[in-house]
Amino acid sequence: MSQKGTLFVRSTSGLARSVTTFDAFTFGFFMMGVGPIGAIVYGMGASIFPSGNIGLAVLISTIGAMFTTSVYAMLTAAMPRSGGDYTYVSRILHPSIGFAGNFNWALLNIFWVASDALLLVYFVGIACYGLAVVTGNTALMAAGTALSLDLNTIAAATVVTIIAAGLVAAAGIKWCTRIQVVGFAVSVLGLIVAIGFFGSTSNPDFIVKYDAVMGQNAYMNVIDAARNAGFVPGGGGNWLIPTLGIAAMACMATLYGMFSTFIGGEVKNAGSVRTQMKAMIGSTVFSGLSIAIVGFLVVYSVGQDYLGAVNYILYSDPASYPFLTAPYYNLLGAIASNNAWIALIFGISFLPIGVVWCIGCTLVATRCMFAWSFDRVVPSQIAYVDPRTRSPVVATLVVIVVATILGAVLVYNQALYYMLFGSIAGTLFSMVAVMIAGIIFPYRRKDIYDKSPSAQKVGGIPLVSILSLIALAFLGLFLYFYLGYPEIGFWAPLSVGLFVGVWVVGFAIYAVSYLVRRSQGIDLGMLFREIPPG
Amino acid sequence: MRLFFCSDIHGSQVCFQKFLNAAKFYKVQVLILGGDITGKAIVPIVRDGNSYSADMLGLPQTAKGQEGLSALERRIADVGYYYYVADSRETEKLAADPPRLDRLFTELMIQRLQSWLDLASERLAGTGARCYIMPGNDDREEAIKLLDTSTYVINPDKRVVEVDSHHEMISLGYANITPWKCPRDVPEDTLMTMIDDMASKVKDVKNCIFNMHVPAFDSGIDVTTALDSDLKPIMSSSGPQQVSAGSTSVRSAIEKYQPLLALHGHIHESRGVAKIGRTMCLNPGSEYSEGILRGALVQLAETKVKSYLLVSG
Repeated sequence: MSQKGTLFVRSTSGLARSVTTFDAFTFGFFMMGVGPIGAIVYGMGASIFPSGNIGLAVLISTIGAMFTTSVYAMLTAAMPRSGGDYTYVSRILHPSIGFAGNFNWALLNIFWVASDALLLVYFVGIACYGLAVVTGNTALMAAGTALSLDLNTIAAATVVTIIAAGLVAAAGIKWCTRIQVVGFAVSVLGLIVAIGFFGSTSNPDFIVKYDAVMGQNAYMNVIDAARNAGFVPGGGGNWLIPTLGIAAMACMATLYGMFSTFIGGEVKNAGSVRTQMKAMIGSTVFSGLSIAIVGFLVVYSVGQDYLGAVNYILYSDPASYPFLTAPYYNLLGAIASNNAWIALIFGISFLPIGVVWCIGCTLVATRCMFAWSFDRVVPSQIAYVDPRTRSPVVATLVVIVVATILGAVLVYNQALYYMLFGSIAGTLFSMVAVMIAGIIFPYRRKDIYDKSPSAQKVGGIPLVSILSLIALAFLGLFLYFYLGYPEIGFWAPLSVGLFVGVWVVGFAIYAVSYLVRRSQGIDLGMLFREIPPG
Repeated sequence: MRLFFCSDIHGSQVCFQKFLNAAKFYKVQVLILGGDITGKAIVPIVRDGNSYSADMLGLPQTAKGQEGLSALERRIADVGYYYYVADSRETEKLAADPPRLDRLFTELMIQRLQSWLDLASERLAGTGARCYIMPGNDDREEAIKLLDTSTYVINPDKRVVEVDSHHEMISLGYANITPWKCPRDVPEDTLMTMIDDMASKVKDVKNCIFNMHVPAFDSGIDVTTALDSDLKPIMSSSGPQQVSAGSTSVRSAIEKYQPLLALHGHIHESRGVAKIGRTMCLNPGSEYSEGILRGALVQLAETKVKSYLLVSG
């Protein structure tokens, strides 16, 4: 018998000390992929929107993400044991929307298993290549070249990574705790080195150092080549719209501070809005600021014209492209540092996040499939657990097979960036459903809302509705750029097919399941229908 | 025959009311509550004249007047806690007197359970629905004694009951030893003896329902957060590390007897369905603190499980 605050508790099961807010914060930080995703956003942003302000764009994106994340935090606090958006969208809107949204989310995660495996291969290639340039080591150069240019090698390495992630996820991930701790330290070290190096290297210094390694006028040659290929350094015209465009692209990182919604119920004081806000907003702000600061400093040191130009000629004029691997800031920093240790830290700082992503996304996707199976929306065989290994072999196999197919599409169609940004648009659609659920939550599920800690009002209007409405405006703004700027890649046929078509498929699966189960005497509509307490 | 099974409502007033109403709502003939029916905590409501304040789930709550107090009491009861109205001095005294606090727990527990049993008689009498309520490993002896006095509700614990003309049910609310050393945690060999004893009295064990509070070890519906020695969850890259916490005896018994259906609770977060041989094992999970009643609707034919659905009502 003990007193806990002003609550008297007795010895019963379940009163464990829970996951700390810091644990949940770290989880969100990892899923936001500060270093690698920042690198992609800086490069692609500068290439597509050369006159945009990268650092400011990340800050705007972070502000928008704070609203979406706040809504996730409030819904999680209201239904902390519900396991994320599937249940609360189903409860508030309709089970078919909850399923279709979650189907989309599961497929996104399977896609990310493929894209993250490929990115991990590229990251290893960049680490080898960067070190090779600095040290002159031919073996590292050969490895970096193979992992960056040889499509068959890249495909094989990607498939091996996907299968390894699947096997680890299926077998259990106890050792991943260590990877997370070490990975967090390495990632933060990478950020510190990036801030230190780019912050202390002015643009003229960077050009001198870069040219010293890459050859006389190498820096300007890149900008000239890009200009000849159609790139307009500085962009011309206004800076606001391009900045908002980059802000939309930065959603690739900033929106995922909400990831701890999937472990929301395990967080200490899970039913407290403040606790959920600390974890989710904490991740969003910390990661968003980190990406913005590194972005400011990379632009300050490397120069936005060069950053845009080198990314531009990566696809438009490969013959003039100076590297064998992607031009992420960790490669640029490694080369300009001309120091093996700094190159090593830059190189390895992206790797742990790639490993954690592959395994984490596999687990999220298999958990989604389990939930559908338990709800009888898909055949129960999907949730089959092998009696010998106790692993979810069917669900894991589905992830491995689909991810391998998607991985092959990415490698052989060179479609990584298009699809990656397309997947973010897919996320935005899922989030729109959550925000709509947030707006009507106090009115449609008054029973749950009134009893929840999220029942806070401002001027008589439910706070969660206000935040959802603002978040929806941000999501609308971001979606405008994905839909309005083909350069970002959403309208690439593969993106549209995968990330829009999946919604149609999701609704179709639910409709077919509904009819099939009804013929078996099961009404899927009963899944989340509340029993009147009377 | 259609049955509704739920478990682990831990004192939640609204969940119990929903449980009773599930008979009509889901059109079932049998209601089964699989254990852990009593609450875990008392929320002191501090009285200051006509004003009242309480700290519920980390959120300060205030109320004015009798109407406000009733609403506050209702909110506390719905999440499964007991309330106790006292001034601040009395609350402090209570905190400093564990034996008195323990007596108060029992008193409030009995009070709510008695009101539930009365409500069950009132709402279910004449409907034809049978209502089985089993104590779990968290429930105290006093609560079990009270259950046994009910004229309408049947406590099936450690007994063989006939659910319908085709199906018998054996029930066990005890659990293997948990980190919290609950009132009815027992060693695995004791659990095995209890199950064997009941199974030996069943006429057709292959057509039997095993209503066992704790799920089978390593069944996939016994997965919970791994705790360190300080009862703190161990984190991994995808969230808290997961372990199996079910009973090896329950697993052995299901493997040995291969009943038609096994109904479980205990691990709130491990909602799901598992097959052990021919036996379908269900754990609907629990979300009582949100006032949501998780349950399993099961349609039984003479010798098979015709269909099932895990619901959140």
